[in-house]
This record gives sequence, structure tokens and C-alpha cells, in this order.
Amino acid sequence: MVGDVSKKSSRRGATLGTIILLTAVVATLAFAVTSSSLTHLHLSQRSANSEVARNLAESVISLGLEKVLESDDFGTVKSQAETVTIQGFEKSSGGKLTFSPETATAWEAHYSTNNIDGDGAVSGSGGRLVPKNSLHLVGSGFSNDTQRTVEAFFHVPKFPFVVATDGKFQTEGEMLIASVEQVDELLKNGPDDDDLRPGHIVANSTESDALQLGSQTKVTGDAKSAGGVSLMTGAEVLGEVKPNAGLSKIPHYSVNDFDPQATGKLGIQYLNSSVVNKPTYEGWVRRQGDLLVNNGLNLDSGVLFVDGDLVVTGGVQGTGAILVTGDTYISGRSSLSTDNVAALVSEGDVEIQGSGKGSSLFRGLIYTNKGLRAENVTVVGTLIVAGKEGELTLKDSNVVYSPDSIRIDLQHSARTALHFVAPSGANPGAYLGTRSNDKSHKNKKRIYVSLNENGEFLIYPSGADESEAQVAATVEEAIEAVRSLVAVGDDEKQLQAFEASSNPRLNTLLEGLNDKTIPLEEPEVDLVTIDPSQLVGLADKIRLVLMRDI
Amino acid sequence: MTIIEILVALTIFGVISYLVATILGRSVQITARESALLELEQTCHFTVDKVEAALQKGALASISVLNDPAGGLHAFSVNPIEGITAEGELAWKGSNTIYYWNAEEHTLYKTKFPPGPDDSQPVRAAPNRLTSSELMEVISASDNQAVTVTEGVTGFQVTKSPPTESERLFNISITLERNIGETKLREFTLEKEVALRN
Repeated sequence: MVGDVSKKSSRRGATLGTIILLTAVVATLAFAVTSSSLTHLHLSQRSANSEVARNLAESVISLGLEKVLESDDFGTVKSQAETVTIQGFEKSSGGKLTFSPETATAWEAHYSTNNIDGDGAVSGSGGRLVPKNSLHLVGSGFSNDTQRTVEAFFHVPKFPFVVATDGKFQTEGEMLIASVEQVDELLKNGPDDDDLRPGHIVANSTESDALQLGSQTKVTGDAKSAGGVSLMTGAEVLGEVKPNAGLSKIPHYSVNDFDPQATGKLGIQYLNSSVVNKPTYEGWVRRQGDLLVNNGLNLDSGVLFVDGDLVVTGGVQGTGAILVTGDTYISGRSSLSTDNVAALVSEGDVEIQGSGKGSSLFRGLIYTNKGLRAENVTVVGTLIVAGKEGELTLKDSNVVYSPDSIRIDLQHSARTALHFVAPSGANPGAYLGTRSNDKSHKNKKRIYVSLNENGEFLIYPSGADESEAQVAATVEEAIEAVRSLVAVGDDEKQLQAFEASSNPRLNTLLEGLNDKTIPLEEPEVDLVTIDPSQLVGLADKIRLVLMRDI
Repeated sequence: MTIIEILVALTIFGVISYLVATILGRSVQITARESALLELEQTCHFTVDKVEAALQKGALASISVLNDPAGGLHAFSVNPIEGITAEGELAWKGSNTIYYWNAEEHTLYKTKFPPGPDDSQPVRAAPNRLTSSELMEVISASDNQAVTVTEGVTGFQVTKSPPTESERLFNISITLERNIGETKLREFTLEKEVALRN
């Protein structure tokens, strides 16, 4: 009896053992499978969260950009209200961006910086340098426990294109289309690859042959077209080729809007003869009918309005504007002086026939509502063809944009230009003197000084309007304003160069200007300002320079 | 209990044990295979992510690709962006990152040109976009410095989009091969279209 009970217990024990063993094996396997699946699931989830967080960071940057495009001073006050947030699909996901350093500190995130209207580089979040005319947006995205931060730098150029046409655009022969920050060394030595910056072109024609670049054409920026883009073998586009892109905003002028007679300008000089020889024009000059100018046209703060066709042999020199209701033909050599800045605005076709890229130069704006053809010339400035039917053809020429060559400012008080070595030059920040006594060919930055009726200094950089000038009541304030515009504040070396070269010369000059013992060098001009960049909105100018994860 | 009862019990136990063992064995096999496939797929994803991240560190002007099917060499070079200057211009790192795949070795490598730490090279004002011949030269000289990114790569290619589309589009294609089980070779191909940010 006892033996039976013992055997039964042993069998029951064996069965229990087997079940426990089997359960353990199954449980171990189940655990292994579950663990492996969970690891993969976790990795996938983490990867998905990361992607969602990054997308939200980019989205909030887009929203921040939209806010700035709606109001270009958004973010300049750095208040807590200047904050953008976005909610993700899940409750635990979203994106945020702020221009307020305090809010950013509370979030343990970076803040954004709006320096679009800045005259110099400023320090942004995390010690980032935010260049002038730039926007630094930092967006943080989060999804569950994952956070991603993306930063983007946007730049607002004075004008977005070197060459812009509403019609077709083609190049032939050896062509360079680029941009530079300063023109002085370019004019002295010709284009140097190290100084060339991206220069963009656009053709708004929707035809398949909208943009045709010849085999020896080099474009340092993007080539954009609303139609097709054809690059011959050897053509070089260092930026992006964008065929079938959307239409770009191209400014439009009507020459008759500038007619001094119709707009009631005073002191107009009327030309009765249809042929003139080597004239120098100052102030408003008007010709009713066609005009032939032989042996060069010299503009000394002059505006020539021709209600007809204009032919100029011998090139154009000086500072001023040429406004033509008909066709325009210009041929011959032009001076390579830095001071020559002119605008040619023509209702009809424009043809410029130079004698060579090294000897013929037009600095400024060339605008037409019909076609444009330029050959054997260097244009430092911008070419704009606003006529849809007009074709733009460039042959064996250089077209180099510089920010201070697009605006023709013939409306300003008496002023003196101060020259400083530009950041791209040797010994940047150094004071070179005023325009009349600086004969150097270094890349330079020009700062204008004038005086208002209260005897206060008005200080503004070349390319800016006098109405936007900084006002300084004292010589010390004026020097500080000049220093801020030369933008040497954050660079010890440039600051030293500025101080060493300007002290005490600048002080003496400003005191002299203030007590009228030193006269202002340039006389007052009240003619016309032609600045196509004002006709292009911020949204059409702003450009993404850099976007990256941080 | 009789011998017959014991035999029946043992038989039933044996059959059940066999069935359980078979099922368990099969599930172990399936688990191992699925796990390996998952690993294969994830390795593909991670490799493509790495390649994409490398491309995104550069810009259109700093990336060059080399696809030489005859030589069995596919590669790309990126000169990464260092930052932005006070004048608003891009500054570029002093060295290029190069990914290359040799058809014979079934391995994706990464190397730098010039070799050495990033900060040992001065920052560039203009991007260093290597030409095809420069890229070939650098790869052939970089055997000692190259690090393995992924092994078992039986196909790798980075190509730019056709001229009619946006130039910012790059296509990354990678094929990985793994032994699944004792004899089975499994292949997984992943393609991704990447739009450059810069």
C-alpha cells in the first residue's frame, strides 16, 4: 500500500517536472521572441519619432519664415510674443521656435535671430554669427521622448538675380555670369575666381528653349527657367539648374513715368539738335525725338530723357541715368572708373556693342521692356528684360552683379563718402580716406556722411537710402555709427585696423564737416532714384543658404 | 499499471513530445529567420540613413558622384558645410567625406580626403568638388585609412536625378545579402530619393 502511494507520487512528480520543463522552454522562447520584437519595435519607434521630430522642426521653421515674410520686423524685438509653435498629430509631439532668448532659456532650446535689416553681422544663439541681411531660424521638434533641432540661415540679397528676363535668354561665346561683394578689385584686375560669389539667372519664358547656355558659359549661381533649360556641352552652372520652375517676379518700369516734362521737374535742359558731340550732362536733360551722341556720353549726376531712339558711340561714362522711350544702341569703350554708375532704362530694344570685356564696361542697371543684346562688354550690375516677347542675348561678355551697382541714387543731400577696406580686402576695416583722396583699388566699403538741417550727422552705407540713415548728434556718436556700419565690432583685428587708421583723421574730418570748415565733397542732387530691388518683395528675394540639424 | 498502459502512455508522450519539439524547432527557425531578415532590413535602412546624412552635410556644389560599372566602383564625395561667414557666404570643411563600394569586396567603405582629423585642415571658402578622376585616385590611395560602413553589400549606387528634374534630387540604392539559416541567401534592396536641403 505504501509502495503504491510512493509510485503514484513519483509519476505525478515526473509529469509535473515535464510540464514545468516544457513551460520553461516555451516561456524562454516566448520571452526571447518578445524581447527581440520589442527591441526592433523600440528602434523603429525611435527612428519614426526622430523623423517626426525633424519634420516638425522643419515645419516650425517654415512657419517662422512665413511670419517674417508677413512682417519683416517679426523677431526683431525678441519678445516672448515672437514665438511660433506647432502641434503634431500626437499630443506628445510638436514644434517650437522663438526669437526671445528668455523663452529659449526656459525651453532649454536655441533662439532665432532676425538680422534682415541689420547693417552688420550679429551674434545669434549658441554663438552663431548671423550675417547682415540674414535670418537665422532655429526650430525644435519633439515626438514622445525624441527631440530634434534644425537651424536655417536665409539671406536677403539686394536683388535676387544678375540676369532676369520675362522672355528667352541665350548666351554665345565666352561668358561669365557671377556676383561679387565689392567691385573695386574686379574693375582693376578683372574677375578672380576666389572673389566670385553665386550669381543667379532666370528666364520666365515657358518655351522649351527658354534658357540656352552656350558651351563656354559659366554661371556661378542657379539657372532657373519657367520653361526648358538647354546647356551645351561645356556650359557650367555651379548652382542648381531649375527647368520648368515657377515664374519669378521681375520688376517693371514704364519710361514715360520718368518724363521730367510730364512730371513737372524744374530746370530741364531741352536738346533741339538730333546730333551732339561728346556732351556732358548735369541735371535733367530732355530730347523730343531721336538722338545721336558721338564720341561718348558723359553724365555728371545727369539724367538724359529721350522721347525717341538713342544711339551713342564712344560709350557712357559718369553717374546718372538714360531713359529712352524707343530703341537704344550704345557702342564703344567705357571708362573703368569705380565712380561710373548709370541706369539705362529703355522702352524699346537695347543693343550694347563693346570693344572687349577688358576695355568696355557698363556699371549699373540695364533695363528694357523689349529685347536686349550685349556683346564684348563687362556689365557690373544687373540686366533686366521685362518684355515677354523680347529676347536677351549675351555674347562674349561678363555680367557681374554687385550689391552697390543696382541702385542709382540721384536724390541725396550734399555728402562725403568715407572709404574703408571691405572684409574681402587686405587689412579689412582700415580707413582709406574720403572718395576724393582715396585712389586705391582695394575692395572698399563706402559710408556716406551728410548733415541735416539740425546740424546732425546722417550716416548710411552705399546702396542704402538717405532716409534710412543713422542720425548722430555728436562726433563721437557719428564715429560709433560709422564703426557699426563698417561692422568691425565683433572682430578684434578689424577693430584694431579701424582704430589705428581712423584715429584721429575721422575725428578731424567730422569736426570739420560739423563746423563747416571742411566742405562736403558731393553736391546735393534731387533728380531720380532707380532701384528695381524695391519692386521685388521680401518673399521673392529671400534665399535659403543653409539648413542643417544641430 | 500494466506494461500496455505504460507503452501507450510512452507512445502518447513520445508523439506529443515530437510534435512539441517540431513546433518549437520550427518556431525557433522562423524566429531566427525573421530576426535575421529584420536585421538585414534595418541594416539597409541605417546604411541609407548614414549615406543620406552624409549627403545632407554638403550642398549641390560640393557633391560629386562616380558610377563606373565596368570597374565595379561606385562612390560619392561630399565636402561638408562648415558654417556661414560674417559676409553670409558658406564656409566648407577642409576635408571631403567619401563613400565607396567595390563590387568584388562586397563592402561599403568610408574615407576622408585629405586624411586626418577634421580640424587639421583649414576651412575652405569654396567647395572642393572632386572630379571623377580625382575621386578614383583618392579611393585607390585610401585603402589603409578607409573604415568599413557595412559588409555584405552586393549593390550600391548614388545617382543624380535626370536633367529634366530638380538637380537637388539624389537616388540612393543599396542591396544587402545575408545568409539566412544554413544555406539560404537572402537579399534586400532599398532605394531612397533624397532632396538636398542645401
